[in-house]
Amino acid sequence: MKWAHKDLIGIQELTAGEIGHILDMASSFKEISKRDIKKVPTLRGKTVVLLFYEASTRTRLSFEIAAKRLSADTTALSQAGSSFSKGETIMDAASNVMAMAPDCIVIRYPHAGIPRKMAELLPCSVINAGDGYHEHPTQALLDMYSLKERFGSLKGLNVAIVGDIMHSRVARSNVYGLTRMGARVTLVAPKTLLPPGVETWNARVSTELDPVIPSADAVMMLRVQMERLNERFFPDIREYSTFYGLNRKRVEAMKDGAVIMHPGPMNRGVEITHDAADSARSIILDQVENGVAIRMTLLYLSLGGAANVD
Amino acid sequence: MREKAISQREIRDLLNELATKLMQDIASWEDVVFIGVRSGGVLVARNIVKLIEERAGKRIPLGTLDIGLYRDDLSKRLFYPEVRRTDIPFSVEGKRVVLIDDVLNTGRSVRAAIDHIVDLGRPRRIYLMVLFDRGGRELPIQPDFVGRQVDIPEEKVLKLEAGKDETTIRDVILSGVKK
Amino acid sequence: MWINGGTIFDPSSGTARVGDIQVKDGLIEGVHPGGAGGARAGAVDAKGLWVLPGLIDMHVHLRDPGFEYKEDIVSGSRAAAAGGVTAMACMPNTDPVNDNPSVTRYIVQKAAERALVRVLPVGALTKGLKGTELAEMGLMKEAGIVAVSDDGKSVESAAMMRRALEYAATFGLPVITHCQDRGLSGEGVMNEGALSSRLGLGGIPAACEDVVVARDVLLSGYTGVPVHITHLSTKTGLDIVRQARKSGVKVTCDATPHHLLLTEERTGGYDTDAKMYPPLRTEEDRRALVKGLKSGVIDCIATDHAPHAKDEKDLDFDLAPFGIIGLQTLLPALMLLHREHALDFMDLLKKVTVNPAGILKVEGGTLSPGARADIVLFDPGKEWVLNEGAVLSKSKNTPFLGMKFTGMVVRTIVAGRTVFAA
Repeated sequence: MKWAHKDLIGIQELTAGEIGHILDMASSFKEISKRDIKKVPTLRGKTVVLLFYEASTRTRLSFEIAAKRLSADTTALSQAGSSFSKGETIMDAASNVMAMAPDCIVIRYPHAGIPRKMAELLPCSVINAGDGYHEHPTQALLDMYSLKERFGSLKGLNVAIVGDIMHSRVARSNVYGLTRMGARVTLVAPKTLLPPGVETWNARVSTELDPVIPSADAVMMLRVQMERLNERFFPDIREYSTFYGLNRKRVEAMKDGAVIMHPGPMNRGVEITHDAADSARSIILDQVENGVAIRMTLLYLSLGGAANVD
Repeated sequence: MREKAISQREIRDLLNELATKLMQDIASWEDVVFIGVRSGGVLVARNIVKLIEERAGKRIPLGTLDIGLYRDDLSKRLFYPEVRRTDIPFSVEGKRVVLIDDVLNTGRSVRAAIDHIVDLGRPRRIYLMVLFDRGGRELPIQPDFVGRQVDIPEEKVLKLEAGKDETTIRDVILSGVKK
Repeated sequence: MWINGGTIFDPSSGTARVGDIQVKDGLIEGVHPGGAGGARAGAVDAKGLWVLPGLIDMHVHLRDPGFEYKEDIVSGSRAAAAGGVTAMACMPNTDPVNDNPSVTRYIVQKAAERALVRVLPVGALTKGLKGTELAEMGLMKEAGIVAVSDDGKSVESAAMMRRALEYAATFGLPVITHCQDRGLSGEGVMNEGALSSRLGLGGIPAACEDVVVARDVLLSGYTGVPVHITHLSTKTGLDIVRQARKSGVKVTCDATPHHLLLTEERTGGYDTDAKMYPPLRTEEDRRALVKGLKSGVIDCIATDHAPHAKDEKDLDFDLAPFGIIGLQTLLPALMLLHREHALDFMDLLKKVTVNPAGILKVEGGTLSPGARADIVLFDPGKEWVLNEGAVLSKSKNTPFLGMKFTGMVVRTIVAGRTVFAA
């Protein structure tokens, strides 16, 4: 099959075939990161600009390394000290960047909808690295890849996603992706952190974590942001971690072969204890490693031809 | 439109000849490895490996290499080319590499393959073995071992097809569609 | 002047008949069904046209004083005239806020000197719209306000709202209330539901509006002071109003054309021209509002005309200001409701003429002899497109941009003078 998208804005727009294609190709790219010379000349001469309007070390680093391993040139613009803070609108900033002829813009933005708007207006490829609460497609792809690597196939897997579902773009993208590939998703959170209309999502919902653990093949813990505490979504850390945190007891209740995942960064002691984070079941670091491979794959698919017609 | 260009019998003879030539030139097999270029070259390589094992009793390490990421024509193609796994389960450092492909034409695929190999390590020597040389070189690349020179119209493509065991070469097809 | 041969719609009598109208000295001198006979010099030929009373839009933001780059009294009146609106009630969330007589006088004077249509200022309920101290309603009334409201916000404290109702009643001022619980609307930018979750946008639940509708309706019932709920958008809110009316509470309400015609689906592409408060709701809500129009629970249709500059609206959906313009699309919207949703046109006409006139206690809205000569000539079959050039407001933020409408205002007359001709 041919990858015929100029941009990657969300998992919602991808078919199961396209997702499968990306996951299949990712192994070829993962191999490059294991060599001594971690570089191939494929995207030589291509320019990739990273526009990160939200603080992020992990995702930014991952994209930069991915681009560089494919021999592309990268530049990152982050929030602090740039014209962003001076009140320039995002579309103005993007048009300015566009005037310098990048082949690809990777954008992370705190409000939903902007990557799509950029993709419609700009001729270069736009890759969404996370827009508000909407989608974080590369994260979901690397999560799926990590699971496929471990279990061979996503079909029929039981995946539990635990935490602040309401404000999580990672949860949204993963629900779209995993269910499309035949996995079963259960969302776990207190009612205050479940998004309105979640009953219409293609996933089971539970406000209790313990009954979900024994049947899960993968338990994906989401980060709890301390700001949510101030907004009164739950009383305090003690309550939250008692009922929704992954601790040693819950890890021991997981079935044989089940794995622990986390998109990072972790709040040790809140949603995940160190027993769980450092347990043998954890594939958290594999996720990070696979993130580079997935992002290399996407850069290759978007830029590895003269023109990908949408 | 496909026509069967060369019979299975002739293929077997060509492969035997290649194996013979190789064995003549390679005195010792210690530091020799085979790398087949996907996907036609892998097919040829598997057959050569089998013949060497039968005749010299030596097991030669075999790797497969995909040139997708090293092509020089990426920007010219409309869509990205398919990328498959490169699987070379040994080091090429200091080795004598026999690089095997099915058809040698412009020489660009071989250049890409060589670039890929040197990114993996520093071989002592690289030999090029091809089953068919159809000429039309655009780069200064010459094979060390050739099965047969063939003369094919420019717009036709020569392709090997494998049998069910992924090793036996069943047919050599001449098709009218230039990729 | 004479206006001859048109179909004269008079909402006060509920009749629509072909005939002639005679205008003299700014008033309607006579209405002659069937024609008055005889030729008149300079008569306006209204054959094939509908002759309607000038529309009264009881919820408009003119942004003047303070935000004249978005709109001002003059440009707003031009847009109104082109829309067949001959009287508009303008809300006090200007800068400075219209919470004292000098701002009221400024508006009244500027309107008298330069506006093409009647401007009816609405004064604030509380000083600065802050909800903590009563505004000078008495002095503002003397200066010319017709009603009071804190529109743009709700009065947060129930105790304060009660005081405001009672004080307004002292001066016989109608109270218009904007219902929004600030805590419940939070970061929300569109209707809360499955769609907002899918788009990753913060939601404004129906309860955010309903909670205050209930509160204000109860306070009205308790104090006996009538209250008018503006831009009602939910089925549940409508149920509360209906129930309250049944038990004798003096509550009236209006809905906007966009809530009657559009739903939250319109925000699917993160289009900020579909962002306003209250947000576009579900199809169930929309249908309930249309039913409420038919049954009479909804008394008026008002646009909540809210101009915003292009640069302001051209931002991320989260950051763009709330509001869309509506003066020029009020009458076309009525035609749409009439044609595509099978609502009786005379009924709809009442919602923008006699009904708002009654609630605001102002004259207008009829074509009876002796009434003000505020008249609209309307070509019911003419097709036209609302492109950017046709929008007379300073701001062009409307989801109806580019839409084709059937039915166009051909001439607008205020106090006997033509202020707009197509």
